[in-house]
Amino acid sequence: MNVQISGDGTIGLSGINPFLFDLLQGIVRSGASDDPAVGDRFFPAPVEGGGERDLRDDWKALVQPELHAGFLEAREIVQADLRAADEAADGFAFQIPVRHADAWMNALSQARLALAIENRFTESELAAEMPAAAGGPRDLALLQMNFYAFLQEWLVRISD
Amino acid sequence: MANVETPETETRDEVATDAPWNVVVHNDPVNLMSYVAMVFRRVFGFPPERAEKHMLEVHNNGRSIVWTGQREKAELYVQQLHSHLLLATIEKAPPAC
Repeated sequence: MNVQISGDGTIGLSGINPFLFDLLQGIVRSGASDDPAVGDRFFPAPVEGGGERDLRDDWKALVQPELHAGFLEAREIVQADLRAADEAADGFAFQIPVRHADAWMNALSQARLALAIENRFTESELAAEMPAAAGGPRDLALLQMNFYAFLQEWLVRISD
Repeated sequence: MANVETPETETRDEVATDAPWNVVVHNDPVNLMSYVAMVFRRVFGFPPERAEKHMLEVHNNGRSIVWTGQREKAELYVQQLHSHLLLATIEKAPPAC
């Protein structure tokens, strides 16, 4: 995979093999998880414990729909960038306009959190080295998370 | 966000909203440290060193109080932190001695 940044900050990715391109498309799929535990993590309460009932109710009614819309918008932006990809002899190529970088970082966070929760990864599994070969769905999910971490780290650096 | 129904409640709420509230960010093993520090810089306008300090506090101690002040503003900050998928809550700040 090759990365180029043009003068206006647009990020060009090219030479992406079909496996990696499928992982990129997985950002949108993973973030759209309907697992209730993922929903709990995406929309946490604004207070710890059981108090502040009014605030919790207001949060659910007013804040969570806004958050939901923001997360969906981020995934849609990522999906649109990926849909615009070209397939060349050396692999897929697409661009991330600089104004889309925040949406990408957000969607990558969504995907990583959803994958961690759905696969019930422990802290030590998350901190461990990437598996040399993906032996099963959990290994693949871990590989996916690490790939997304690499992309996000890189976007953070560019955005700074 | 609290509703005010009666004059009595109003008085109590005024006292409650005047009391300072903390914005607390909690650790999660998934969000990247660099991403968390970037969110702190963006949401609170922290300089890099302060953002890094709070990020490390979250990482090492499990939580960091990143802001203290008026409740309504604290709620807005928590909403912004949630929009970046950070775990954040508000809590009443302990009374000053």
